Amino acid sequence: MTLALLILLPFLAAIGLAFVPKENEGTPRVIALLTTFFGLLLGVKLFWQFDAAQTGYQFVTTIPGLGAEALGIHCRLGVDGLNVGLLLMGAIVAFAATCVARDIGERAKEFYLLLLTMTGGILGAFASLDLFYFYFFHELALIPTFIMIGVWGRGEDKNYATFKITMYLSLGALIALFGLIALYLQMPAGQRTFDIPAMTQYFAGQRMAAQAQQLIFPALMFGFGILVSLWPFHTWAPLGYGAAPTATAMLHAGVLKKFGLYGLIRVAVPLMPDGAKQWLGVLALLCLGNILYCGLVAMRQKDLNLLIGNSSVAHMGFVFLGIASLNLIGVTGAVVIMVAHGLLAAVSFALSGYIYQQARTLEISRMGGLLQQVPFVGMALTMAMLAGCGLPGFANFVGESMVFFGAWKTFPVVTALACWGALVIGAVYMLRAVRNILHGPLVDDWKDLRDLSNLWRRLPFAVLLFTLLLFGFFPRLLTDKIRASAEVIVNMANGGMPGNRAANQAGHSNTTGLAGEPSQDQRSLSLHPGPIAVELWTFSGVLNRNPNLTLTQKALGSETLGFGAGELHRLDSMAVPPGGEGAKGASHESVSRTVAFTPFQRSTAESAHKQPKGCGPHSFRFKDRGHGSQAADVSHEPIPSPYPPQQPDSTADNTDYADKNSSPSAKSAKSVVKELVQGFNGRDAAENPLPEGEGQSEGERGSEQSGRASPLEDRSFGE
Amino acid sequence: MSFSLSILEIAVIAAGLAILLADLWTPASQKRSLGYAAAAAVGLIFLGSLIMDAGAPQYAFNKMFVMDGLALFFKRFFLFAAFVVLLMSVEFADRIETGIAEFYALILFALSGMMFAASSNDFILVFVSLELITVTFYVLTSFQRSRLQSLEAGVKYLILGALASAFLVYGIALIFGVANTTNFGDLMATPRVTTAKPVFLLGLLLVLAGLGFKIAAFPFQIWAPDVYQGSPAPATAFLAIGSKAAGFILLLRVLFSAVPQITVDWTKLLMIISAVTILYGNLCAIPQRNLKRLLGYSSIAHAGYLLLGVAAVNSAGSSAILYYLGAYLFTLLAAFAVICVVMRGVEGDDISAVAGLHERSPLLAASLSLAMVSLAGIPPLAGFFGKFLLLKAVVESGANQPGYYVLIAVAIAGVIISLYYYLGVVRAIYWSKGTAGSARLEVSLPMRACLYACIAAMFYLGLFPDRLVNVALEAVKVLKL
Repeated sequence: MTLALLILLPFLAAIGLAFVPKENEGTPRVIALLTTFFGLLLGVKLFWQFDAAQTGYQFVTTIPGLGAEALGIHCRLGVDGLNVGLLLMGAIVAFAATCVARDIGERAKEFYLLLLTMTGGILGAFASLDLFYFYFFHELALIPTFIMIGVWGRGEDKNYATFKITMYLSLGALIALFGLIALYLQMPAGQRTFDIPAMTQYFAGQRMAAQAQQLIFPALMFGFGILVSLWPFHTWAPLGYGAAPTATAMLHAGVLKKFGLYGLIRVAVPLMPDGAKQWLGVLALLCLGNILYCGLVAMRQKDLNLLIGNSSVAHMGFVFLGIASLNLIGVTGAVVIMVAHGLLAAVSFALSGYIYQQARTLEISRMGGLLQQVPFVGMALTMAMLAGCGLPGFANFVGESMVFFGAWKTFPVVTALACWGALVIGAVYMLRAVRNILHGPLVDDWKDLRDLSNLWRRLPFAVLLFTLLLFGFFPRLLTDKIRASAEVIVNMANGGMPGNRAANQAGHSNTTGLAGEPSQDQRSLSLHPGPIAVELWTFSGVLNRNPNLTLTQKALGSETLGFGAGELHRLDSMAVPPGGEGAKGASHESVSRTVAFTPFQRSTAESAHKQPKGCGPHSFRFKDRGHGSQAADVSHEPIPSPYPPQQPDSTADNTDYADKNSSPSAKSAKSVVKELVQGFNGRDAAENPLPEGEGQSEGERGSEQSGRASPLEDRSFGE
Repeated sequence: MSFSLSILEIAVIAAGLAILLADLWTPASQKRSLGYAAAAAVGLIFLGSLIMDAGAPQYAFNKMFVMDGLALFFKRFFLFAAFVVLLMSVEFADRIETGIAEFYALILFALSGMMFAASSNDFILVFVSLELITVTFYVLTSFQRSRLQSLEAGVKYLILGALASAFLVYGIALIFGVANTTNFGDLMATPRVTTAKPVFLLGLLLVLAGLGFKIAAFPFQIWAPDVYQGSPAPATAFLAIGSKAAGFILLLRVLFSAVPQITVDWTKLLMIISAVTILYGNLCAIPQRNLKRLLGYSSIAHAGYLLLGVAAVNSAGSSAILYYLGAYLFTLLAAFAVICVVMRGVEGDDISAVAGLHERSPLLAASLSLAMVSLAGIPPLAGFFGKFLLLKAVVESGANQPGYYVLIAVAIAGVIISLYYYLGVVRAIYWSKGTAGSARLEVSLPMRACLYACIAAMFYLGLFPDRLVNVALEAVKVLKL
C-alpha cells in the first residue's frame, strides 16, 4: 500500500491539477508541495521499514487492471535492497525539486502537472517488478521533460537541447526495449512473463543460450548506457541539463538517469552472465571515457551548469566501473554512488539554478567572491563540490572507494586511471569552480545578490546535504540494505565466470562457488591500497590549502574509512577461501603490498559450514553482531527468488575489531589504510578453516600492533 | 441467410439512400444537420454491431462473403470511424459550398465498401468493395470544387487509383486464369504445383500492388501527401483511417487466407517493402510545414510499421496490426478533429496555425499533442502499446531469421526520426510564437465530446490494453498462421 501510494499519488495529483481553474494561481504549487512532501514521508517510511535481514522483495503490491494478462504483463511493484535507497533518494529529490521550482513564473499549473507526472514516472520505474512497466514508467517522463525544457528552459539552445535529449533518450530506450522483448521471448511460449522475479527464477534454473546472450546483452548495455550518458553517447546530458529548468534538471540528472544503471544491475547482468562476461570489459573501457574524457571536458567549461552536467556524466563512469567489476563490493558501491550522486546532482543543480535566478548568468569567469554575499548558498555549493570530488564524509566517497576496491582485481589499469580521474581531474574542476565563484574579491555586479535567508527556502538544500552526509557518515544504513540483494545479483552474474568452471560443468549456473577444490583459477581479488593512498594524499594536499577544513577532513577521513573498512570487510566476510590458500595469504602486513582476498562468490556452502565459528580474533568486524552474520549462509542460497529467510549464525561471535580499537576516529588516515589492509588479511586468515590461518593472522596481528609498516613483495592469492 | 449476415452493410446503404432522399425535402438551411442524422444512424448500427457475436465463420453469397471475428472487428472499427468523421463533416460543412448531403451519403457508401472489404472471401468481392471505396473517394477528395488544391487531389487520386485498380483486376484475371477460381478457400486448397506457376505469382504480385496503393506502401505511396493535403479534412481523415484499414484487412485476408504458403516465401519482399516505407515516410515528413501533408507522410510511415506485423508472418504480428489500427483510429480522429476546428479560415494548413494553441483552447492543444505523442509511440498512450506489440512480433520472428533484426533497426530509426516532426508540432502548440492571433477557439459540443472520447480511448488502450489484445488475438485465429 505504501509503495502503491508513493507511485500513484503524483499521478492522481497531476490529474487533479488539470482541473484546477486557471485563476487559482497559488493552488498548483501547494498541491505539488503537499504531494511530494507526503511522498517524501512515504519514502522514508519505506526505507525505515525495509527489513535488511530479509532477502527477496518486500512491500509487493499489484495495481489491478493495468497490464495485459495475455502477454504476462502485470503492474507489480516491490522493493529490495537495490531500489529501496533509490526510491528514498527519488522521493527526496522530488520534494526538493518542487521546493526550488518557485522560480517558475508563468504557466505554473502546467509546470507542476508535468513535474508530478515525471515524479510518478521516475518512482514507478524504480519500483516496478515488471519489465514492461519498468520501461513504461521511464518513458512516461520523456514528454514532460521535453515540454519543460522547451517552455521553461533557458538559453538560446533550448530548442536544440530539448530535441536532442528527447531523441537520444528515445533511442536508448528503444534499443533497451528491443533487448527486453528479446529477453522475454527467450522464455518458452507458455511461461512468458515480464515479471522480474519470475524471469530471474526461470533463468537461474535454465541458462539462456549463449548466442542469445551475445545478442541481448549488448542491446541492453548500450540501450541503458545511452540513457545513462555512457561515453560516447553522453553529449545530450550536459547540454540538456544546461538548458533545463532547475527542477527538471534535478529530477532528470539526479534520479531518472539512474534508471539505465538500475536496469543493468537488475536485469542485464544477473540474467545474462555469459553476455556480461563478454561485454563488461568493453563497458569498463567506455567508462574511462566518461571518467577521463568528460572530466577533462568539465575542466574546460566556462558555464557552471555545463560543468556540473559534465561532472555528472563523469560520475556515471564510476557506477559503470562498479557494475563491470561484478563483485559484491563493486556492485554495492555502484548502488551507493547511484543514491549519493542523485542527491549530489540535485543539490548542485538546485544551487546553480538559484545562482542563475539571481544573477541571470552562470559564467564562471564573471563570478567571484560570492561567498561574502551569499554565505549559505556558497557554503552549500562548497559542500556539493567537495562531495563531487569524493571527500570523505559524503556518501559519494563511500561508493567510489567501494567501487575502486571492487574493481581493482578485474580491471587494475582502468581502476588506477579512474582513481586518477576521480581525484585529480575531479578535484581540479570542482575546486577551481569553488575558487572562481566563491572566493576572491566580490565582483561589483553581484552586490545585490540575495542569499537564501528564509529557513523554509533553505530546507531543500539542507535536506539533500543532510542525507548526503548521513549516508556518508553511516554508510551501513545503505549498504546493509543493499547487500543481500546485491549478493544475489552478483552470485547469478558470476555463475558463468571462469572461476566457477566446476559450477558450469555441473550445470548449476547460479550456485556461488561450489564445494570445489581450490584450483588455480580461483578468482582471488587482490586489493591495492594504492587507490586509497592516492586519494588521501590528494585530499590532504588539496585541503591543506584550505586550513579551515583540515580538521574536519581528518575527522571525516578516518571516521569514514573506519566504517568503510568495516563495511568492506563485512561485505566480503562470507568469502571463505576454499582450501588452504588463505593461509599463505595471511602473512603480509605491509601497507604497500597487494592484499589478497577471495571474493565472496568463491565461498562455498561447505566451507561456510565447516568454518570454525568464532575462531577468528582478527575477523575485523565493526559492530557487526546483528546483520553481518548472514553472510556465510547467503552464499549457498542457489536461487534468489523466492528468498527464504536467513538464519543468523554464530559468526557474530567473532571478536569485534572495534572492541580492541575502540576509537577508530582517532586514527590517522595512514593507519586506517593499514588496518583496512590488514582487515582483509586478517579476515582471510580468520575465516580460513585451516590451522595455518590462525598462525599467520597472529603474526599479522602482531605487526599491526607494532604500528610499523614493512614492505613485502607483491603477492596474490590464486598464485 | 445470406442477407442476414450482411445486415450491417445493408443498414448502412439504406441509411445512405435515406440521406440522399431526405436531401430532396430538406430546406437548404437545415441540410447541414442531416449529418447528425447520418451520424446517429451510424452510431445505432455501431451499437447494434456490438451486440453481434461472430462465433464460427459463416459464409454467404457462394462463400464470397465471410462473417467471422476478424470481419466483425473491422466492421466495428469502420463504423466508429465513420461516426466521428460524420460529426467532423458537420463541423466542416461551412467550407463546402453545395451538396453537403451528398458528402454525408458518400461517406456512408464508402463505409459500406469498407465493411464489405472486411468480409471479403473472394477476389471478386475484393475488387468490388475496393472500387466502391475508391470511386466514392474520387468524389470526396475533390469535394471543395472551388479550391484548386482539392481538385488537384481528386485528379491525382483518380489517375493513380485507376492505375491501381487496373493492376488489381489484371492480377485477379491472371490468378483466375491459372487457378480457375477466385475464392480464397478454393485457392488455399489449390495444389502447390498450380500456385507456384510464374503467371500465378505475377498475378498475385499485381494484386499486392493494387493493395499497396490502398495502404500507401512504397512504391505506391506517391499519391498520399498530395491527396491528404488537398482533400477536405473529414475526407482526409476517412481516407487515412478507413481506406488504410480496408487495405490492411484485405492484405491479411489475401496473404493469410488465400495464399499462406506463398506468403512465407515472400517474407523478404514484405520486409524490404516495410523497411523502405518506414524510412520514406519518416524522412519525407521532416521538412513538411503543412500539417495535413505531414500527416500524409506520417501515414506512409505508419503503413510501414503496420507492414512489420505482416512481414512477421505470425499471429502475434497480425493481432498487433489490429491493435495498432485500433490505436491509430482514435489518435488520427483526434488529430483531424482538431485540424477541422483550427484550420477554419486558415489558408495552407500551415503548422504555424497551431502555434500558441494552448492559450486559445487548452482542450484542442492537449488533444493534438496527445495525438502526436501517441503517433510517435510514447507511453502511456495507445500508440506505444501498438508499437510494442509490433516490435514484439518481429523480434519473435527474428529468432528464426536474423534479417528481422535489420528490420527492427530500421523501425527504431524510423521512430526516432518521427519524434522530430511529431514533437515539432507539440513545440508549435506549447511554445512557438503564434501568428494566428489569440482569439479563443470555441469547440462545439459534439466535437468536444468526440475529443474527450478519443483522449479517453487513447489512454484506455495505453493503460488497459488487455481487452483489445484478447479481442485481436481471438480475431486473427481465422487466419491461417
